[in-house]
Amino acid sequence: MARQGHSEALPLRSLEKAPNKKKLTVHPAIIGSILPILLLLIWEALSRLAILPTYLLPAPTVIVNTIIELGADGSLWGHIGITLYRIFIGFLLGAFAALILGSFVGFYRKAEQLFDPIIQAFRSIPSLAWVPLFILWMGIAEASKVTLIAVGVFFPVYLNVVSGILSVDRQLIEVGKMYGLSSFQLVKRIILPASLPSFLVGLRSGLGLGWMFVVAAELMGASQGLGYLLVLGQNTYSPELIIASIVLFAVLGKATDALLKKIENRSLHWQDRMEQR
Amino acid sequence: MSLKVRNVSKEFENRKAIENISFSTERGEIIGILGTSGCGKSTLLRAVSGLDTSYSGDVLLDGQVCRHVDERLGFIFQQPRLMPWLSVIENVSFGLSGRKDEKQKNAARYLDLVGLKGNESDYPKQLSGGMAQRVAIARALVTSPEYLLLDEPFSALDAFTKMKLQDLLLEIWEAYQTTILLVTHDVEEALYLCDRLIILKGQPGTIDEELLIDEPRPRSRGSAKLAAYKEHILNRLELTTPVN
Repeated sequence: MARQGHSEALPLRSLEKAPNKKKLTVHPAIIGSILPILLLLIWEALSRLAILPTYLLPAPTVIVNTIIELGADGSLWGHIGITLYRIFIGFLLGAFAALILGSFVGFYRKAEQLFDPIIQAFRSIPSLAWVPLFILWMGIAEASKVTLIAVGVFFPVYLNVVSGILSVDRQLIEVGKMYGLSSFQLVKRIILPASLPSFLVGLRSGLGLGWMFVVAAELMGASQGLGYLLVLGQNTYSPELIIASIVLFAVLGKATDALLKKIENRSLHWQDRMEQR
Repeated sequence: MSLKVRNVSKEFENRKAIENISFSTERGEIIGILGTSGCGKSTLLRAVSGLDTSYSGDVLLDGQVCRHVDERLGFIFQQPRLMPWLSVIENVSFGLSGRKDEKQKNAARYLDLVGLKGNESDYPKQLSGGMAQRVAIARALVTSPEYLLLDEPFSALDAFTKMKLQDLLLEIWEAYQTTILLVTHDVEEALYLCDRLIILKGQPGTIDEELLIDEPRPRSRGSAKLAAYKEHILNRLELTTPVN
């Protein structure tokens, strides 16, 4: 008897589920934006009703106005431009150095034995600890900032390049060997494409660190840039300027990451991944 | 035109895998290397292929000692081992060099041969196990090797796909008269496909018996003669339980 009940229950449950599923198809972006919008509304209301002290936490509309004003008098573009410029150059330098050194260490065991210990030692230094030294060496102009960002970008990219190369499937390399490919051809036709996913992951986390370090670099002394707006906001008691700058950092950080993500998706369309199913 | 294996032995860190293996093939022959797991079948095939060179003894290709991979040899692995970033047609033409359109044309011909016309632009992630192995077969054939080495090529497939691909292999063999060296642990597969079986046994693996399968093609999988061979082989490998 119990067995019969069980076999009946299965088709019944699947019948019940079908119509339910249809009702729940709301775009995930809408679900995801419910909480932020709610929070913004509450924040706005609390500020307007003067329950929150506006000299510490101005209303969202005030912050948006600040950004619009900065845009209107043209100074915003200068700040964004110089920040993007710094992160771009630092990112390129760091990622390029990491790619070269990482490939070298990944391909040659001797190079790994030679370089890896010292690179790991440098990695254990918190990168911000370099700041005073870089300022002493290069002054507070662009060079020290870009170098700091490059250092921040370097390590995640380096680590991912090395592990990407080391984890290339030996079975695929054997296929290449069976066709008599030279070492150079093996690198070009198998090792590089096979380690590309790992490299791109490294680039994305490197970019994330790059944004962190551009803030640090601009906090340590700059006359322009989004980080400079943070300092300016602090010195002039204008929290709206600080929050505006934070918002801009968030938007730009997300935008650059989305760009990399797009490149990743385009060049890794062949991957059999969970999120694509 | 022959492949000869002369006194090949191989040792892994003080443990001998195969000892003193010698045999030779004739042109267009299908030779099966049969044995239980751990008797060094794959080790032997890797030595023949040139992927492994740290063995003692010689492998002779058309009368000359050959200790490296050679374009006369094609290898089909147990797993398809396709490059996941290449489309099906690019995977098939992987071992070719020359102009792209010529490579593609050549690859398309072999893709048609293995029954995958129309899947040219698919990526390996879209293929079933059997389709992927068909691509791997096409990839091995496209360079027109004179010898085809197969390392348990169908063992990861379901029974029906396996039979289909075995027949495909025979079709290819008939069309190209390739000499085939097939490593397998599947007695029925070996009996269905091979002209001659080399039975490896023991650890380290040595040749226990060379067995000529005297049954004309096309063979029937259920034939009584093949069943008798099977009984004999299982006895040799001590896999049958004594009756009393």
